[in-house]
Amino acid sequence: MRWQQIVPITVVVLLIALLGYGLTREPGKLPSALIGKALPEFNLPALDTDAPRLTSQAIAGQVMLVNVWASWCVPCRVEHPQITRIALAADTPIIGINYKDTRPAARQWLNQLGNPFTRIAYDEDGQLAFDLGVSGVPESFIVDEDGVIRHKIVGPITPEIMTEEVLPLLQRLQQEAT
Amino acid sequence: MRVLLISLLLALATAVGAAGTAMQEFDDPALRARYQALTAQLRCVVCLNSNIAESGAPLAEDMRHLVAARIRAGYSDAEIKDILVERYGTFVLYDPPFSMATWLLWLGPAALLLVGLSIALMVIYRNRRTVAEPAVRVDHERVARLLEESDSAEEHRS
Repeated sequence: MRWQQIVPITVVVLLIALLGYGLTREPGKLPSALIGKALPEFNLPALDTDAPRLTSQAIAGQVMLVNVWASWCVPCRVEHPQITRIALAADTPIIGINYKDTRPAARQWLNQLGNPFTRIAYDEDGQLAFDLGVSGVPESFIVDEDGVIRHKIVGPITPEIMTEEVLPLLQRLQQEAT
Repeated sequence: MRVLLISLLLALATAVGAAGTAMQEFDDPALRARYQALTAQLRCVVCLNSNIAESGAPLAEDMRHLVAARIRAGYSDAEIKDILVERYGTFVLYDPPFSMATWLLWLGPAALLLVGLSIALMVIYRNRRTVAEPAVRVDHERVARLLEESDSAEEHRS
């Protein structure tokens, strides 16, 4: 073959490889702008009207999982068993952010499925979720002892994500902290 | 019947879409113009390639509210963009700044144009050179010899 034939074939093969690689990527997933930054400050009522308000200062200084959820969110239901398992397996608090929900619906959801959360903030108008750059529910954030966001999971925490990402990172951060 | 149903559904769908993108009210036309320009430049982060002015997604609605509220509160366009970039990253901008992540996006088209131009120039140059060369290489010695032979043949005949 002469080089005039080889060059176009090489170009086409490279292009196919590039486009094929593009298919494996998920353009809907945003690169998180908040990783490495501090958890935004907030002051929200608790889902339980009897409980004190939740503030960023009150929960600071510990490794935690922050999970944004809603009772109307179907993938949150899929994710719930994993949240429960993390609550049992990891020695870290799980902060729930109840997003654009109603209190009765959220309570009913927790009664039905169980409540794995240490504390739940009631983010009725989605202000904190906006500050967290949440584009949909569920989304989860792993926050270290210094209040810095270390990892973000967009969409439900699947059993794979739980065992491969969430639990190891929570454990490692906990060890760093002590 | 089915056609009627489908057209009815389509009409309903457009109505719902229009309701989703209801305009924010501004008394000041200058503010309204800024609002329209800004919402056209901001990407709806959940809908893959539509701006927040046109999108009917609930999140786009929230973002429009935020843009309108900040404009009314006297924030500059740059400040409003910064607020959104802080949360969603430069993905939210339809006109992303030049950076490590976007250099290919910015320079790619120019580079491709250069490659294309150089290939075109190469082809043109090569073609011109082949045209300049005679299509058939003339063997001058052989021509002279043939001419001589035919001349002598003619002389011989006469």
